[in-house]
Amino acid sequence: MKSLDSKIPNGDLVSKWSQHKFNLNLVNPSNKKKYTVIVVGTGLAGASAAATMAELGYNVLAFSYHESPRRAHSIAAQGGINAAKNYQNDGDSVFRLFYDTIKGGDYRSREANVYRLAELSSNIIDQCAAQGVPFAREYGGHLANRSFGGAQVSRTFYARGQTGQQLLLGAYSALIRQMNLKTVKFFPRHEMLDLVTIDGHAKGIIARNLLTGDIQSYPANAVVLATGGYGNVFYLSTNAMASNVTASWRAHKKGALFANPCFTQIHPTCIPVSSNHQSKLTLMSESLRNDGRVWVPKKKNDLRDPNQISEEERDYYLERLYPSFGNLVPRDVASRRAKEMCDNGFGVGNTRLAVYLDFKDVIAKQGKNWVAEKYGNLFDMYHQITGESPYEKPMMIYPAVHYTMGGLWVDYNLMSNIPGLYVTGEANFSDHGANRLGASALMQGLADGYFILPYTIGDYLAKESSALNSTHEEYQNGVQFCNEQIKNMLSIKGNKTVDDLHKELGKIMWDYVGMSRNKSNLELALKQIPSIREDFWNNVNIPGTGKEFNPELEKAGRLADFIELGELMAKDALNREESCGGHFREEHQTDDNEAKRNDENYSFVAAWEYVKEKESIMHKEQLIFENVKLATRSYK
Amino acid sequence: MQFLFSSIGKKIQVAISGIFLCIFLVFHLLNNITLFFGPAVFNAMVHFLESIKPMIRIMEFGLLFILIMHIGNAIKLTIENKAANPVNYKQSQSNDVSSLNSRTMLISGTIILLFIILHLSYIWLSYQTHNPNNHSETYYDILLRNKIGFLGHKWTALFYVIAISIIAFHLRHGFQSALKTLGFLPNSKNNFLYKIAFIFWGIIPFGFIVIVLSIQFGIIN
Amino acid sequence: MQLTLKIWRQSSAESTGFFEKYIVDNVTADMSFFEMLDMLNNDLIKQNKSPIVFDHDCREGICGTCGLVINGRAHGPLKGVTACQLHMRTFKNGETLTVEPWRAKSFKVIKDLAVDRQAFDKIMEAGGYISVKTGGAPDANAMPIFKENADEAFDSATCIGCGACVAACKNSSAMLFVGAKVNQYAQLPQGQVEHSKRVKNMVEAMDSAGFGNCTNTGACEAECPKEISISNIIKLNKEYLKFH
Repeated sequence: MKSLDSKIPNGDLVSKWSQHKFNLNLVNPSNKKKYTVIVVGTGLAGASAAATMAELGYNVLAFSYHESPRRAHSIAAQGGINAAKNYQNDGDSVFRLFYDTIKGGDYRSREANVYRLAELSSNIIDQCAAQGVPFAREYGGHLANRSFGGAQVSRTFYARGQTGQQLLLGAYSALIRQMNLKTVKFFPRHEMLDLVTIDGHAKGIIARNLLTGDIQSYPANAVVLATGGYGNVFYLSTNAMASNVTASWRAHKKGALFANPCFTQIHPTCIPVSSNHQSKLTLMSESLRNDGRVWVPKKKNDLRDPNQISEEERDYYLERLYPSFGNLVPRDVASRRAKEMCDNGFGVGNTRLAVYLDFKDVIAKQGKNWVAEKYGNLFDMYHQITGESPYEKPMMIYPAVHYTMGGLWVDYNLMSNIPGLYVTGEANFSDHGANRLGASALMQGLADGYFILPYTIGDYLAKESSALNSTHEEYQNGVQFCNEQIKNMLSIKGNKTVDDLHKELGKIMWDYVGMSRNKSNLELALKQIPSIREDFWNNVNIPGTGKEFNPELEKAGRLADFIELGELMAKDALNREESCGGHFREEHQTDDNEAKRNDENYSFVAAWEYVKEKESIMHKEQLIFENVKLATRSYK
Repeated sequence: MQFLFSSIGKKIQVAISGIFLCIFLVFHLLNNITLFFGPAVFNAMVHFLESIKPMIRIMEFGLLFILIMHIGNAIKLTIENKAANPVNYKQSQSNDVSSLNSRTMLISGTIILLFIILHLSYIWLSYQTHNPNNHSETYYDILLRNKIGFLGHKWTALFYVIAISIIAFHLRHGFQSALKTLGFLPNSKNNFLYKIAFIFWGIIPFGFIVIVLSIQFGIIN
Repeated sequence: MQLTLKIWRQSSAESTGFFEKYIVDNVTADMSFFEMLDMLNNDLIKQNKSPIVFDHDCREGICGTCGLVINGRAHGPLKGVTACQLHMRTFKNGETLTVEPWRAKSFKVIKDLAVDRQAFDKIMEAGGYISVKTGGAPDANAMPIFKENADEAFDSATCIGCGACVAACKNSSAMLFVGAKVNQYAQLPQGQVEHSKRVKNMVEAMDSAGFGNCTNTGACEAECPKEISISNIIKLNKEYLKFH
């Protein structure tokens, strides 16, 4: 077993980060430009990191499979971003945000990381406001806040329902400014296919130009992966169509440990699946739960129009089960309860896989205009997709895969176990434990990119020589390996399309490794996924060639990695004999169907090591809690 | 210089020159209205203008310069715009998204230019070659003489009415577009600037048409 | 329902394109337009024909990746809706739909319906930012901003950079895109310091990228999926005039 040194600094929680920053080695300013850093992915975490490192003076190469950094899926985050500003004077503090995040994550994250995140949250808001991000404001001109899933204070900053878009455009503007200054070289429509390691250190990547199919090596002194999450392993998720695990997975195959892959978040408020042609799911911001009330009919299989069902015949089950948090319980709880209601026959809509989210009361109380001002764009989006107006009829919602807490293992410096390989944002596993609180993803991506990585990467580079041997055989080997893999895939010419196979994988993942899991289903998944892998490598049909713009080929490469990841997820889920956060094992629940953690035996991070053609090996990083008392989460 | 050749700079030149041309139309109409007050008033007005001929000449050259600035930049913009958008959509549904006026400014403008040339060659030129001292005809008579040869003829009158309508059509987009280009005109239809625009594309062309028809139907004689 | 599609096929930027006719069956009302294309592509692959390439990613109407012209209308016939959010209930059984890529010199066709919009990034590079370094920001509430200004800045900032304005414009002008960014920063106190430089540089970059000139036809505003107002162009004109 590898020793997993999380490099958490000593000292008390509050001063760890500032002390650590002082202890970090610095790179001489005049030497910084000699160091090349590759950033893969230019969403919130990647763009902010690339821009900030360029400001510091490093030579940055930024890669994206999109045509522009502004297309990254960070853009789709709707609700907001948390910060412990306490502008509302409602008792918020860094410690409270830290505590809420640790508790929300069901005590499966590192104290030190989470505290640092809470501490930096305020700086993010300052930074973004200075960039011209048009946050919502009060009439007095100050920033507005709202409360958000699972929090009892108003600490969420927002820009209508498009906070992610505005923050990404902010990070994009910082990045593009550096592109103009020629401190960042941007490689659009380039997909990372492999990591190059030399003597165990990350020394660059292999990337394919998606327009020409040209595969090349790009040497660098350090590599940062900011490549997002792997929710698309379920085929249907709220992730963008191109979101994938390939960069992380290929790094994993080069030795980077993959931590807690089974921790996936199911978002409770998504538009339900309508048919098997569905290509993706659309999220309705969780902020809707601030004013909408969730209910199902009290009678099973009640097919009446929701407006015909009287108050007495409705079961506002979240308010009934959780009197103090009501509709604002954390995502995992709200999702699981919705599934339970539907499984018990109370579901609504054609598929019976939906519950109502009703705005009748708030419209009556505050008026339609007030609601439109706050949620107008979400209501329009819902109307556009379903053909029904939430002003007139309650929304129908159902949980969907939304975010993945798991990811590549990183230490306190955000460096993986491969020296020189850093992982930021959703791609790493670090801060959200087993469940992420609403409005924390944007916070983490930007904290990593703006305020953590640019410091910590210097500590590594200061000890490394800036010299790069671009003729090293590892670069050529990497290019050759990737070319061959593509050639192999293209030569199969079977009878199944990539989408067919992806749907098959998604169904297994959703049914057996989805919202609620049990041993026999997980074992079933572990039996079935390898046969899909087999099927893929024997039967996939990829049209066209590798020397042209070929989106089907891109999809195929990503699916190949998803299949392998799916297996690891099932393995991890099977291994974790407890329920915590987004990971719910039916065998481990309390009498009233709440998740039952096993702190004694599973208070660890499961970091998996890839072993070629053999079973993956699990390494444990024990989680130590010195500042919070582990308690059963209760939202009653 | 860079300003003059930038996209917005060229637009602004078209806009300013267009607005000057519109203002010229106001004076033109005011002059023509004197026709309604009989030969004495009209002739007196023309004689007054003759008496300040050097100034009028300068203004005429100014007007020519403005016209060239308007047309020259418009043509340049059109060529660049065509180059920027070399391929048309197979099925175009532009009426749903933009007005016909706005899309045919070059065509309406070209027709107006031809009209101006004809108009000048008929009336302006005959005034230039006219020497009231050697001739019994007054300026007023020239116009009425034209009743037979020119304006009074029903086909000529019809041609004038059509041409003036096309000016209206051109200004329907042109005037408010010029204001937008100059940074006025908030996008609210209630703004008073839209009412001013109506004077130029509605009232003034209507006034010219009334005059042409008045001559045709003998109200002015 | 059944639909006839006439789709633009072009194998590369250099080659000449053509329309190809496809008949698609089993289209359901709750399918999105792209799910209908997915279904068609799945069939094409199985017949060993090359699938239709089109730009898309989030399918939630926010990333701005998608963009195609359906029956002459950018993002299809609905107002304020991106192509990815367009659902088949908008169309009638038996209808013929002509599907084309964005047409503009500055947006080269990459393949079929996918175009290259990097010209937008070039314009943004010229000034679409506030020059603030990471870490140097004062407290966010130290600079109050009128709610009206913040709201107007937001309205302009909702631009998703899809390029529908350029595609819809008979002149392929990018002035709505540029105007929206200029106006966003013009509304905010933190955007003032570099304001005049930003306006000049972005207009210059826009011109040199080969976009056409605005003639105020209003097609951009009508086709913008985020319904960004043409008043952004008016304000851009004003700012440009002001700084010369």
